[in-house]
Amino acid sequence: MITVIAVITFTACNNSDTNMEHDNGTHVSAVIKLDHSIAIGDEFTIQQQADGVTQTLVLDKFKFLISDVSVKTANNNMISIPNNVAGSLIDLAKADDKEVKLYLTEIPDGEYKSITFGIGVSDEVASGSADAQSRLFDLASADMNWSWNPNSYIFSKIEATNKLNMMNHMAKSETEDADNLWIHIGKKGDFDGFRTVTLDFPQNITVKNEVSPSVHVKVNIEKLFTPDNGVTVYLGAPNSSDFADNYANIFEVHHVHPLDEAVDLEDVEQDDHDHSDSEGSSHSH
Amino acid sequence: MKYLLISLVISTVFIACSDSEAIMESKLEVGFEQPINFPTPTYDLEDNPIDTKGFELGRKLFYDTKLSAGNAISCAECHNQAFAFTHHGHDLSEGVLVDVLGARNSQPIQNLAFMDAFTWDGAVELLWKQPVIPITEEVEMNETLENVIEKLKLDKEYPSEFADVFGGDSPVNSVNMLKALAKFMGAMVSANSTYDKYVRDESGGEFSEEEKRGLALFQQKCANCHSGELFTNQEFVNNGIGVNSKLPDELGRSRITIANPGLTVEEGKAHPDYYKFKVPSLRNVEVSFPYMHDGRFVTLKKVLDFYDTDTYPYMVKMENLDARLVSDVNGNEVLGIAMTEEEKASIIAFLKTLTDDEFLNDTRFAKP
Repeated sequence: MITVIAVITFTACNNSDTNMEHDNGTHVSAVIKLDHSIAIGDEFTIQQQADGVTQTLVLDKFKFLISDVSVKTANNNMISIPNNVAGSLIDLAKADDKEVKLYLTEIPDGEYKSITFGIGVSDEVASGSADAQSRLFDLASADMNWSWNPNSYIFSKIEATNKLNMMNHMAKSETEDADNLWIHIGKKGDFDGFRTVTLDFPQNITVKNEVSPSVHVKVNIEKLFTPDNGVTVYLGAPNSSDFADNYANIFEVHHVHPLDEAVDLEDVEQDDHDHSDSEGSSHSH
Repeated sequence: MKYLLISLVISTVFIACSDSEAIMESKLEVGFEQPINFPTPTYDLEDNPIDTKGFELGRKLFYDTKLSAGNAISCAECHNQAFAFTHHGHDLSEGVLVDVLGARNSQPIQNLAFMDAFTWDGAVELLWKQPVIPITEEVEMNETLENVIEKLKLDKEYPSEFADVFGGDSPVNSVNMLKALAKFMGAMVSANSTYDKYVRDESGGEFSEEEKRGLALFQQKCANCHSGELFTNQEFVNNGIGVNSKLPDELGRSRITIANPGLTVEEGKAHPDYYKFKVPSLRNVEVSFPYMHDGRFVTLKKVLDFYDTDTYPYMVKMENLDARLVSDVNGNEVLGIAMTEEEKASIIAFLKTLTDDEFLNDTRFAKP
């Protein structure tokens, strides 16, 4: 009975445990603007494997989790940003037009040449500390959680309806085996779809208080199926490994704005909540 | 001597902290108790320490219907302390939806801090992630994590209780809720059965001759799988139980190990993990009836009749039937474990020594 012990003492003494929360202000170090090639509701085409015929699909859902973000300094030091700070859910349904902004904070001042991030959640993180995945878990809890699975995260989802089916007014349930698209990637059994992407900036960006540099990244969704480097994925029964590999192919840095006006995370999060169509000003292209 | 040392440590720390709050906490009811005859816990005590406040918050959540849709049931609905936190007498259980049954027998909540994987098929490997299944499953509590968190945030007491335990800017979040449940479940250690006292040579640990015989027989015939002090090797095994015709789509572990999330029943049946289930612990087995993944056997006698070589119910040989249950007798393949009726009676007498009345009646685990 007395074995109760020491564990208690940790919390008792530790009321003011070092907060994971950003206490040094909410200045946005840099913004990654993910500019998608198509929006939810847009059409795109994929080839059928069997007959090579092209099918037209309407995009219903496109979202993915980002974890393990790190940036590389001009002199090649990798700086990791904790998942409780930079873990993100990119959801095209929440885009401003086709753009989803990833706000990065807590990057130390300095010059940077690239960013690396994971698509999904590595098994190391998923099976590791609960606190360290707190933010990712919350982001995933609505639609990216897979409770009957040791790695509980769904890394990415793309869902689309075949236009043929739509024209025939077939209910979705009737067409499940037909040609609708539904690909969820995660880690299950011996398949692990976690992939890492590195994006080199065309010019270094400088992180400092006065600015919030932005990096404009094209996200070419069609390249999940027809990558520049990789295996073409056809409609039908795609190989999940090829498909996961192709995620690295969909991102392309277009340009950077090294001197964008400094933004504060609290302001933009506010904006994001009540953004009706206040788009306008930020986009200079 | 060891106890003396521990209390010394505690008092030192309290002096070090020495604020009034710490002294208030000195009732020190609950923490993680490591029985000397148990293996190292799999529970990460550093990541999610177990203390009285956290335990109490977890317990409150465990007994709170807010975790289910329509605030209909709490975890305790199917996990009742008197029956080692199982659903007394139920083979399968209804969740919040009337007349809709789940597919598996409610499992005991005990010694989970020592387990590698949870649920019958090992769907989850971290204790804190386990409650997501019952909370979100349609046939169980049919709720979403988001809704639960919303309800807890609106509650009069939870926000300050979460803040007390976890601190931080927004302590009422899904990870903290799950961590609190894990603190409660992690502390639920059953290690004071007659058997434990027998092996630790403590008073109350006297075995009758029959119980001693039962232990020896158990070690010889059952302990290949129900091994060690947890009475499970934690493997997933096809034990010959055979398909339940009422649940033809049950796949067992193959639905977890097959990579394709949209797997078909046929695919699941063709996989080597088809109809494999986790070898259950036998602690408190006397009170946790009915038995097997679908609760199909009501008595321990029936279970042993199933496992023996010749009494009904019989074993079913699927391709992946565990090799430990197949033997060759004079060139004939025999399924099961040879046991006489007397031997079965002795084994059952031994199994009853695994009942831990202190655990089953421990008021710390009861609804406050």
